[in-house]
Amino acid sequence: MKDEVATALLEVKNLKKSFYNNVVLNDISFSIKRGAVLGLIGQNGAGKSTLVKILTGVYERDSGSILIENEEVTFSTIKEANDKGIVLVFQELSLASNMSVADNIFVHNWPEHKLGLVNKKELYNKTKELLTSFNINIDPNDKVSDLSAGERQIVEILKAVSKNPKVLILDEPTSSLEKKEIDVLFQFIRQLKKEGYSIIYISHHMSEIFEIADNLVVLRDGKKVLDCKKEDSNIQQLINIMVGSEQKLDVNYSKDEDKIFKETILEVTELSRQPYFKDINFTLKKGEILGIAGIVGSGKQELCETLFGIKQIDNGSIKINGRIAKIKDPHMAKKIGILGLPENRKSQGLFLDHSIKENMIACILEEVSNGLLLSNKKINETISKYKTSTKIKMDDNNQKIRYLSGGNQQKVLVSKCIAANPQVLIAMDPTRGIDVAAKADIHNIFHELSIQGLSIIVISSELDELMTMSDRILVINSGILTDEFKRDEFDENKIMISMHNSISEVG
Amino acid sequence: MNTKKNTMKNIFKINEVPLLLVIIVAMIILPFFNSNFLAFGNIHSLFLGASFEAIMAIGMTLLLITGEIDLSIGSIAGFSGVAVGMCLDAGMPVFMAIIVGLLSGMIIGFVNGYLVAKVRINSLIATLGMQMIIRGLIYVLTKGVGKPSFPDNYNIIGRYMVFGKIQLPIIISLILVILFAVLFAKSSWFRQFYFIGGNAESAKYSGIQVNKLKIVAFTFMGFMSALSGVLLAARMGGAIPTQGQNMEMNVIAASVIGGASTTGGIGTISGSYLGVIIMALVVNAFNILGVDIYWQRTITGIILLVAVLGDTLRNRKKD
Repeated sequence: MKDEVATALLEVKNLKKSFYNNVVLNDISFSIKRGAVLGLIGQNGAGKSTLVKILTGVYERDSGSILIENEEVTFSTIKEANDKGIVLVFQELSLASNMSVADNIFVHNWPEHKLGLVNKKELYNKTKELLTSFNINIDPNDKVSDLSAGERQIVEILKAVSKNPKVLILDEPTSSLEKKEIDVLFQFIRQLKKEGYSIIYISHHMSEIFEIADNLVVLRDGKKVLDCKKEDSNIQQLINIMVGSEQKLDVNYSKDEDKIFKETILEVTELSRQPYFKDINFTLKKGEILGIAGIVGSGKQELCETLFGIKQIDNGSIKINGRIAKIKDPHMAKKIGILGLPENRKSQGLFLDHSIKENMIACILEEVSNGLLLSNKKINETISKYKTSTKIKMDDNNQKIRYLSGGNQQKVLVSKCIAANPQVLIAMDPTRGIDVAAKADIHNIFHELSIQGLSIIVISSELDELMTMSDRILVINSGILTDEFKRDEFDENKIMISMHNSISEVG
Repeated sequence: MNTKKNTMKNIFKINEVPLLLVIIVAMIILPFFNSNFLAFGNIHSLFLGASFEAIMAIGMTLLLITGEIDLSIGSIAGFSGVAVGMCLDAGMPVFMAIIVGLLSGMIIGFVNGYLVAKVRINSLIATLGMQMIIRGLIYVLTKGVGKPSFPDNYNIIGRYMVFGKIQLPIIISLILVILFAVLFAKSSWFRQFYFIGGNAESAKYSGIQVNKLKIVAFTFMGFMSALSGVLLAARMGGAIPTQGQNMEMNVIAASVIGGASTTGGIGTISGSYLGVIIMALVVNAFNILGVDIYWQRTITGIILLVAVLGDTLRNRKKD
């Protein structure tokens, strides 16, 4: 047994992958020993997910090799990767919630009777055996929908384990878990290590990586920039390496130092929604772009959603123009001048089977009417106004929005929101999944709008984008507002550290 | 040449055009088989038969646009008739009895809306339950016999001849159809329902009051069903316990034939009205051609499937 622990179970050598002419993985090599946990770290776009997709057979590599137990393996489907011993654990999305734990764990190889019917008894026993071997106190007959988020995550991992893998890949397994559940999960992962499974652990939470990983691999811009034992590094160093020395900021970084903010538009006092965030205080000035930075699960998302009525606050107050606002739903928020630009344009923002025209007027039906009836003249005026100002490329207003590019869809979404003429725009990841040119357009639009007096709160999955756009950045960490950076104090490393520092939990 | 072709193509894209063509072709062919087809009496009875379902189709189209459905409308139509009858028995004036009948439909519709929007029961199931509850209540309240005979001063609303020639229900249904056809197409308030059906989540983020408007749509449906029921009872001179039975299926079929989408976001009153007329035409044609009436539902079903198939194929080509 002890000898085995020392041998490399999975070895990746000189892996390369590019899309079109864009190199996303450049000469990546690393190895994992049997029973070890490798922490894989990198910012969004560093190449983590491409690497995972190659390891699990979703993408094919351009060059390089993957060895399992010193034997070169190739696969081009998920199933083949599974058969060779690499299994990705999904984030609880793959479970059938109306079925039992046992059904879910063995869904791809239910024990059968001779006639092909499911052998319930054997299924129960096999599951029971598996659960007891990991000291997990769940009944195989429990329905998945009755389990806690943490238990579901464990069932998800066991489902992967039932495929007899050698390497398990866990991608952000704690994203929906609370502290206590994370501890239980980590206990379980340590068990898995003892059983000889090797694990690739991906997380934005540095503290978790340091708690559970044996080795660390950091990716940046598709390259491996660090590969070391956990003991040889610390959070500070990791962030510096992850961010890199060169600051990748746009030229317009310091273009209007001279913006002066006087009037307070929005004042948030002691805002809480357990367990997401607690006692948040800040003000937003007229014409200011305020960035809120935080890692996934920090509470920034929920904070934004409460500001325009998608979620409710437990405590605290929101004042707009000095008056307390009770925001029960997005309709009320819109009435008092707060509008949300949702994170997911397809499912929350647009009406895909409606025309560009229809989408643009969704927030301003009353404004483009004469009395009861819609006015074509007013509609066309609105459309041509925002079409020019947001540079939307389209042939025909009556085109279904489904057929526009992501960038153009996003511009329609922005137009739709600003047409309502809000005082405060809450923009959630406003450039997600769009190309560089459209991104720059949207940055410029926001800049123009802020000069015209619109106040904007923005969150983004990319910190450098936040730094490009914002006049001020607040950092939220584990639900608590921890830091504030004015534009002339922006420093990617400092903000990163503030986002990742481990602080005590909310509550 | 090319532009001409495109214009033709665009005309056919308007969903009412193929429906109108079907009606026109039928109007041309049917007289060859029976010269009485185009007689005023026959056309009048066709439209009269269609008017009750046309009124309900207005409400159903709104619900389908919103992405919901209502299976209880036949029962509501039956119940409103019975409610009127009970009020008349109690000595209420005709006008008040009608108000109560309409109100009863609105209340049932409101409950449907509440169950769907707030309690979040799937509308198919919620209104199926309501259909059974209300139909059952009709039998319970009237000991199984309905309210078979109404006084003449009530029945007049179902039988009054406008201009001495045209039955009142036809006029009422036409006025409502024209009014709501315009409102559905042009009014900003009604446009909200299209957004809800298109993507309820996006509608919510856009500040549209999704739940409130869903309840409004069901209440409106209830009102329209009750109006239809009140007229139907007057037309029949009484409310039999089976009044309105199966009407929900005809109304849904007509709306879908008329282009309303069961997944929401699409539908017009003009289309749904033409759908109602086409279905009435089938019944009428079978009657005057003397074909076995048992074929009626089969043919109607085929028309429904062909209409939906055409729609599905058109959409598939585009994606």
